[in-house]
Amino acid sequence: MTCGKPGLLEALTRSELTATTAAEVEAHASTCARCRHELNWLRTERALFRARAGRDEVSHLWQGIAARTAPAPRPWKQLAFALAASALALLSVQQLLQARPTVNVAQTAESEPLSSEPIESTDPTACSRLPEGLGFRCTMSLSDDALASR
Amino acid sequence: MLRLLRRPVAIGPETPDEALVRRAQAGEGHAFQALFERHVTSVRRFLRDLLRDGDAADDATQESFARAHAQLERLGDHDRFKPWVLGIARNVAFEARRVRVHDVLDEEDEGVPDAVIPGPDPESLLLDAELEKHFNTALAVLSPRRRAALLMRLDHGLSYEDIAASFGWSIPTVKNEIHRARLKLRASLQPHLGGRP
Repeated sequence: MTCGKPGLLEALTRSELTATTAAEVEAHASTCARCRHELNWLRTERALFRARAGRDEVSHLWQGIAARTAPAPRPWKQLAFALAASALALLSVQQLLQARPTVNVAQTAESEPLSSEPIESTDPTACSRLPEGLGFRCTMSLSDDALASR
Repeated sequence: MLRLLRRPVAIGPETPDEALVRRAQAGEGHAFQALFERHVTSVRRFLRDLLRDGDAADDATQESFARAHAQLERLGDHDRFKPWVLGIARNVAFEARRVRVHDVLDEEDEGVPDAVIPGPDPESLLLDAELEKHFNTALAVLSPRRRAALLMRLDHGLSYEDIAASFGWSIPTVKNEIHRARLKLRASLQPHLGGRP
């Protein structure tokens, strides 16, 4: 039955046949010299290969692979983070600009007026940098826009 | 959100390759490590048989799994990890040996015996170190691709279909190559199986 069908003999050695078919193939091989010869070789090959299996030392190999397979940061996450940080920074700068105090510098009554309008400066240190004794009155106040933004 | 909160299912020996591949493709590092641990012995032995050098086999094993990790998204048949990674390993080995995979098939007809080779008696086979040495030598004299096909079938249990897909051969070609490799292997081994005609 298996003569000319070496696949059946190989399937027998690989335990791929049903119990019934396996018994039939075994029975045939026991009476057929050609199939018995082939079956002996197949079993010898299998025994030789199985004897070598599982002897290799492989535990040291994962370290090298782990270093190469570490998950890389996802680009879209980096991009989203960068965009969010930029937006936050822009918003903060805008808030600072709107809230910057205005410095009004005016001359006192004793001195000759240089201008009828107060001098405005966006420099918050302007008052401290004015020379003393010249009769300037320097006050800090928030502009209407800045107050409205708060 | 539910997916983020869901606890990962534990990985065990019973977890099929298919599930591990899906989870590794989703970015679970432990799933890929489980695939590695399950198949590294086969891949390393396959590469040692092809390269015949332990250190080179170690390097090629690491390269094979690194490539598998990098290309895992391309593996559509999730249950075919083993033949797939063995195919990668074969390519790595051939590159290492400077053997081009698109070369014509090896011609070894002169080395393939036509006569029936006397058979051994597997029941009384003594698998000692000497016989194993002869066995390894018999494997080594096969051409790299014929040896790779034989090893995939006999040592690693791949189907003819998987081997054909891996090599880009037809199934009859795979069967023919393995048959020829077998005959040559048996002819080389037979003198060392003395007393077992």
